[in-house]
Amino acid sequence: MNIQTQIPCPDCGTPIPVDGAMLLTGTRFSCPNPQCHCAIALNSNDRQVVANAFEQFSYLRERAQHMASGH
Amino acid sequence: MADTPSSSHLAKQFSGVPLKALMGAPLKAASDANGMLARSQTQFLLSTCFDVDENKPGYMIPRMISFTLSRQVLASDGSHKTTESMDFVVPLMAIIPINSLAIETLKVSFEMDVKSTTEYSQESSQSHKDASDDDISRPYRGHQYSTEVHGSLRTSGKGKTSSAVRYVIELTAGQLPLPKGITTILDVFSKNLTPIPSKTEDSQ
Repeated sequence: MNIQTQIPCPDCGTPIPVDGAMLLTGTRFSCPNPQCHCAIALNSNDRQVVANAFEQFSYLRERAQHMASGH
Repeated sequence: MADTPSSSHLAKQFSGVPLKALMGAPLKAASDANGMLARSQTQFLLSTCFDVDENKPGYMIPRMISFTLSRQVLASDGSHKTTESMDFVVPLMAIIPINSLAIETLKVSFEMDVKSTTEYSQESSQSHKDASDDDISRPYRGHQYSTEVHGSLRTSGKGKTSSAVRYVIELTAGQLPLPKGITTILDVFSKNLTPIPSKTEDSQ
């Protein structure tokens, strides 16, 4: 599962790049804005919800890739 | 290529070629695939990222997930760093890269060459023979003569004319941006990500 996404920083609005697999392990992601010293992490009680969503999304994405390679 | 009478004549030969089927079929297949993906994506969004609102039948509410925001804060004297944490929630659909679920680009290159070649060779030969003889028998000047003239003419020509028409058709179908509804929802959520301090002290 390699889902790359981004979440806008709640403080400055700069998009924070987030790796799906690392997000599920509880890793903190720092805001890339050097003036902003915020870091975000997914709360442990929502990890399962996100993991299920990522899993279903990965399945959809595989189907899309399969369709695209068929043309 | 300039539109000469010859090329327009050649172009008429394309009239029987099923261009619509040749170019349209790959595009239609891609469009069908994209449509199928869009339906799957909608189902995914509704089943995974939304919950049915039990208080309002027919309404759905976005499923929210909780994040912890932490930042380092300097004390008033500037000597001491502390980490402050607070919780904030974002909709689950905000962290799913939805727009990556589509066939991004489809390129159909279609090339046709029609060549018309005409070859001709022409050969003609002509020969001529003329002869005459006479006997002059006059008493004072008697002799006999004969003349013969041969002549031949041979011409030959060989040539080749060719003309060609080339059609290059390139179709590019790009990915449409996210539907306006989804963009608006995401925009509203992004603008309302103001952190709310958690009621309990989170010491992460």
